[in-house]
Amino acid sequence: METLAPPVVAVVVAHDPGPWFEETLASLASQDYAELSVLVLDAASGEGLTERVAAVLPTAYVRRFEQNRGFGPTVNEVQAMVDGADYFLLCHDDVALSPDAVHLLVEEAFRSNAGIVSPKVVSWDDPERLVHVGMTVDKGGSVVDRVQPYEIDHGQHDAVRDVFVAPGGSTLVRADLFEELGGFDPGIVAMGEDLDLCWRAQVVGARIIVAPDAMVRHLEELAGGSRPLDQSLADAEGEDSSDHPVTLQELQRRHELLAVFKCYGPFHLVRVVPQVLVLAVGEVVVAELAGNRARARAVLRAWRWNLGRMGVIRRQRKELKTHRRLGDKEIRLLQIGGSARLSAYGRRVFQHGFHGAHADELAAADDAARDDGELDADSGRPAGLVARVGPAAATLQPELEPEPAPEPEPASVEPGRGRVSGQVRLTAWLGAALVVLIGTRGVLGGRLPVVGQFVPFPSWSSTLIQFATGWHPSGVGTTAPASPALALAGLVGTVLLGAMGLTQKVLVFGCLPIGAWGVVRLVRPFGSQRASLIAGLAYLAMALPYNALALGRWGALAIYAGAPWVLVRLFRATGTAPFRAVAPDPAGQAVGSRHGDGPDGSASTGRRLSAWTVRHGTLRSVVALGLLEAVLVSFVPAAAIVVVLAALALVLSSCVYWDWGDTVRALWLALGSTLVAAVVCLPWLIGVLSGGRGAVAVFGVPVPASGAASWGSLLRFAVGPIGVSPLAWGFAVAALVPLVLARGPRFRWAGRFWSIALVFWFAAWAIGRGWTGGLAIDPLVLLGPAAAAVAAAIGLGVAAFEEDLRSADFGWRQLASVVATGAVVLGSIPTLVSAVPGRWDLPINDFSQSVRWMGAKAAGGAFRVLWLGDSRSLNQGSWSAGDGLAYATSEDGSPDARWLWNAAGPGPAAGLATAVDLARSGRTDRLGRMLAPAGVRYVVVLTALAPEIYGEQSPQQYPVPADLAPALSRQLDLDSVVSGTGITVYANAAWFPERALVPAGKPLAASDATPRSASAHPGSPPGLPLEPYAVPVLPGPAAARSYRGPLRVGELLAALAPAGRWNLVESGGTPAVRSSSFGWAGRYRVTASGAATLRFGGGLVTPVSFFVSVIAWLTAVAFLSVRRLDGSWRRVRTGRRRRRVDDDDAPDGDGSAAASDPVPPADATVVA
Amino acid sequence: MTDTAGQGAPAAETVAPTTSPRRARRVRRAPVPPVPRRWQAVVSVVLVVVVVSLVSWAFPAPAAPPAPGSADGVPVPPAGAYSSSALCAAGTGNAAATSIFLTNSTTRTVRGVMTSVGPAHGGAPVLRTVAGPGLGSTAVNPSSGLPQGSSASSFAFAGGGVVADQVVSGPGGWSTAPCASQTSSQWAFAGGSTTAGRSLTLALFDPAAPEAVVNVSFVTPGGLVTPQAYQGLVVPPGQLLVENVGDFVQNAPDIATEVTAPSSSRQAGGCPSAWARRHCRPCGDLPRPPPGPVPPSTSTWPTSAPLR
Repeated sequence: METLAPPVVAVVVAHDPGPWFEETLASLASQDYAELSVLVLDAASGEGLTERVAAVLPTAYVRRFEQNRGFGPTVNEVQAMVDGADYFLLCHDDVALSPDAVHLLVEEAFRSNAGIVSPKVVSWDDPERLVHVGMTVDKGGSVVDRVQPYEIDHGQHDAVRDVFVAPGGSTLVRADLFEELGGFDPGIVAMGEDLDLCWRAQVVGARIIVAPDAMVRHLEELAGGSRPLDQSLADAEGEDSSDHPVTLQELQRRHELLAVFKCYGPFHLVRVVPQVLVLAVGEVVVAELAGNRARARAVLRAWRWNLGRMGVIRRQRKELKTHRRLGDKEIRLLQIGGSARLSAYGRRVFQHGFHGAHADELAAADDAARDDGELDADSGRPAGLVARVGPAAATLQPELEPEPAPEPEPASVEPGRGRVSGQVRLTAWLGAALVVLIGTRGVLGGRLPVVGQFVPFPSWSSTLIQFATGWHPSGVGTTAPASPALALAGLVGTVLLGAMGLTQKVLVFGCLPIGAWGVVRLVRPFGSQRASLIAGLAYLAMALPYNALALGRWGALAIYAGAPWVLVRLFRATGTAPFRAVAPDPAGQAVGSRHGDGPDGSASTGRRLSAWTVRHGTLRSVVALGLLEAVLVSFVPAAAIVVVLAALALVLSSCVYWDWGDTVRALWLALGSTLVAAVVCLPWLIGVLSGGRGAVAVFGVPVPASGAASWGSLLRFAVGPIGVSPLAWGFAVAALVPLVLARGPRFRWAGRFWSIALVFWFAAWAIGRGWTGGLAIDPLVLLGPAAAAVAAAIGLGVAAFEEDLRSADFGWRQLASVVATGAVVLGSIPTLVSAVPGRWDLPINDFSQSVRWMGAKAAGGAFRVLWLGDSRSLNQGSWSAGDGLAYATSEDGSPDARWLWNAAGPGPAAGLATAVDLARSGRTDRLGRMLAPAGVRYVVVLTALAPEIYGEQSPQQYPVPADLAPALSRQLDLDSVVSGTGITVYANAAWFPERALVPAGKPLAASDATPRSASAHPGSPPGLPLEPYAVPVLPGPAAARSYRGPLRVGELLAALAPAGRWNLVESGGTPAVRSSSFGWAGRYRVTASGAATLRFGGGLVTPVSFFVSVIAWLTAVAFLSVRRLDGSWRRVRTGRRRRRVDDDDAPDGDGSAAASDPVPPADATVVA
Repeated sequence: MTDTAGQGAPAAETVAPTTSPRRARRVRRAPVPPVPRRWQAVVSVVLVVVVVSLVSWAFPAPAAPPAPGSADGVPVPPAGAYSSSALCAAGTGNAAATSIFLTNSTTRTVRGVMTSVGPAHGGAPVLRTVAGPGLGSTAVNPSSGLPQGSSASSFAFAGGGVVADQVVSGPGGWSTAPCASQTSSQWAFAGGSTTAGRSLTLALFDPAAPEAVVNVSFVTPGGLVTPQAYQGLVVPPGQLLVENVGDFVQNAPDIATEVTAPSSSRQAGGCPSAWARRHCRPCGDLPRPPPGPVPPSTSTWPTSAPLR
């Protein structure tokens, strides 16, 4: 019959198809599309398919190949075989089309003018379950399904729409488009050929749509892992699979990366590939920590494979470039933002915890490995497998994976005692999260106000570069190594794809759940879920973290998050119940390694590793705590003191319990871990110690004792605007309960918790009064462990109520329990009330807005700002100027996070403090001239955390010494330009630019003077700059390490220290002669006009310092990951029951160093 | 059974055999051993809390040091200073000879620069190097090189310990007054007259970098006089501004003058500091020397009171 319908050739690639193949053929035979021809390509099946095809579809053509080259390369043969077709319908051998599928696909292709059309793909066995309705990708090539795994089809996706990828299985492709694209990439044998083809189709401007009216059932034999991957395919790709078989996951990852390398234009390639690389590094590290070697190997081999074929990729890029019709910017609009893989992993961790997220994937990987195929559960690409074994399957498809039997409690705990149903726990935590979200809603959306240590980060690359380079802008410049916090923050920012605002919020607000989680872990060994729950909630309800938020104390938040985890480690070191260290199970040594589990009995590696773990258990504990401490120290150097002090508090408790041996072990652990942390942070530590006596300033800058928190305020954590109500006493009152009610180990630990709380309370009180001299740790930092101990004691009270009061007569003990319960509830009220406004008392406006105008002033030459005030009000790391006054600098306006962790010693910037001191003591009235050599254009005095706005915000006040303002007002060369509530800005009339040139023939007025004598230099009256002929040169951003610009002949003055590390290269490439200026700054003789570059040269110290840092961190992580391979893999494999027992693992994953024994009931002891 | 704190823990229950059918089974609780060291722990905690509370109460945190009192405008710069100033306004022009005596209280010579200016638009300032010998005194003529009329001088010393006194002498006698060593935002003058035959001149000198915006008001027997022209008076940096008070306050036998640099002017870009001085001529038979500047809150008056 003559029709006007375009001819369509259905190309079915078959390779040893199963019994379903007849159904596939039958579905093609039943199509109502008249112009459909069927071509079956037999990819070297073991038995010829001709007879099977002829039996079902006698009109079909069959072509047999003697070698299986994979789906894509086989399909490519149709270009030579078929002539006159308008469309190709590319089919796997395990699909079944609805009778009108081809008709609908062609119809939609015409209607939408689409180049590629995809049908709705449903489950082979259950057509009501969706498998694919088109796909999209993220910037890194990770494919994301538009439907949830095995989502029930209610017609919710039945709209025609554009998609980025038409999933393989059954795809209608216009023949001319297929020819223009050159077919599939011949290098892709399986997994990812659809992504590659569709991405290239997008590049050439073709439209890809999904037509959900056309339905196809898909068995997904290969992607689902049911059909083993032919390893000869991988070998054909040049991959040596002798050691480890190439898995589907590896193929998927390598082809995703190939698509990225191939399809992006140069600009986006440079932009995206570093992000993908950093994500890959993070993924490898996490996978190694989780013991998922297959995933780590897949990522690494994907990169190796692609980097090894760069020549081919370059040719393919060149070819694609000739067809490109759409720019990457337009193509990116069809991609999803962020990282799909990271988001999926985040969801899994959020839903199932770290262990749960990896356990399911490991099980999936194990299953897949058993079938010689492994899949990436995060990518969503092999959705079928995810649906079968992933966490979601438990809820979506209970029939596919039976719920495990109810988990029995550990034997030593009476069944049902202290248990709380999962629903109750979930409700409680959701309620707590809701309160926190309500309290934080005002700052979640916009940017965080710049108060205290909440300063914005520069870009992720700048943050990382700041760590890697050897010069930092604090003061007037220093070569002291940077805090690892910059690297850690930069890494987090990189993982979050450069969203540094989000990074800041994650790092700030993430402290709240981490801390609560830590307290839950701290109390869980006592065997009561209720106790853990209440302790965690109490920790979350205390005013401390919200005061830290309100005051911008990031360090205090970090300690709040880390203190419970530190305490867990220390408690385990005591070796006393319930924190009893458990040696690895000897039986487990044989199964310690994944590869040791093999049926061939080759478990020697695992056994050796496990034996080694037993011998070095203590060392591992030290390294684990050391690594945790190193992370904390990076953000809060005082964490080192906190850890040791916590151990000392434990020892102090032995004065009562007389168990010195146990607690001294904890002290040794603390000292050892501090040593490890010092080694891990060695370059930074050396930089700190180089500060000499001033190194103690790294722990904090002394503040006036007049504003110190009272003893009562400390006891109720009311060290800020939140929790000042007497109700906040409730927590301390409730924490007393276990001390008077508990018995046995619970009583012993109650005493220890109180010892810790008292020691840290006392330390905060004593330091607040200035009794420790230069050692001025922020009291909020010290209150973190105290709060954790109080919360744990509250939880212990619950456990004591459950265990120790069971059979007691009704009396005062029960009454005390009721009072304690009420006290906790009442104690939470101030925090709940504070949540209502939605900002935790964080101000809306900040001083960075008050001085935003400074940024425009940089056009007149780079300058510094000298910040004076209480160290708690400054937005960067500071040094003491005496009398509770602190000083710090920034460049071209307000500071960012690069100034947050400054060097221990100010270096030449100490002259700024000296000058201010001279002004305060009336020994100079030309302070501006003394500050001018450092390029200080503005002096900012802060007396509050933020501007006070009547009726809007009443921020914390931080008075400065009373003589400061009059002294600055007396200065003849300072001009008050801004005077608001909490801030006064003085302009320095004697200022000259940070990088300035005095032309030849003009006198250098004062550059040969010292900063002090400059103040009295009679060269110019107060109204003129110290160097009146200096002109700004070498423009550039703040805190850069290289400046370039045109220079005239003359003298270049650069206020960048140390001057010996800064070199000026003139236009001819000759280095300029350098001499000293003002005793510390640089002065360069410019002999020829032209472009010149002033560049920091760190020498060998910078790279050596960087590599030592990186190696130290990686070594520590690797040490722990080796241990994890040995210890935790077995538990993950053995299922959820064991995992529950090991829930006391620290977040670093050091799981088997110590398990926890629940405390036996007291009556059991009595009976015994 | 003695109920000891902490003994409320569950006890094993024993059932005693009944000897009488009338009596129900009697339940007896086994004695629970006390928890060792409970009281030590409780007492230790309470003791620490109480003791620290008592110490905290008995020795409260030190209060913030009070703000220093306003300087009287003529303190002697400390000997160890790196730079100091002396600010002398109100040179009397032609009516009397003016000298400034520099007295160095330190043992070493202190060098500096004297900058003298005439009234506004009176020409460029004259800079001259000066040196005060150790433990000695030297005199300089501030009017040298300046056109006739009022003048003001500022000294920038490369050290401290130097005081300057301005001496006015003429046919009618002489008087002396100290020069200020620092700027202030408020000045008050307690004498003056604009009755017939007398004139009162106000000299405003801004030695600092930014310009000063000042308000001038007068207290007369008739009440407070606030001439509009004297509100927001701009004194350029390094310049001397001379105003004839009689133009606005006429025929007043006694006039007190107050000069302020309002805070509002700071926000407008002005300067909080100003240095003002008043001189009058003729005041009686003798040339009236310049009275010392007196900030309003001072507790110390200049040692050289005006001659009468």
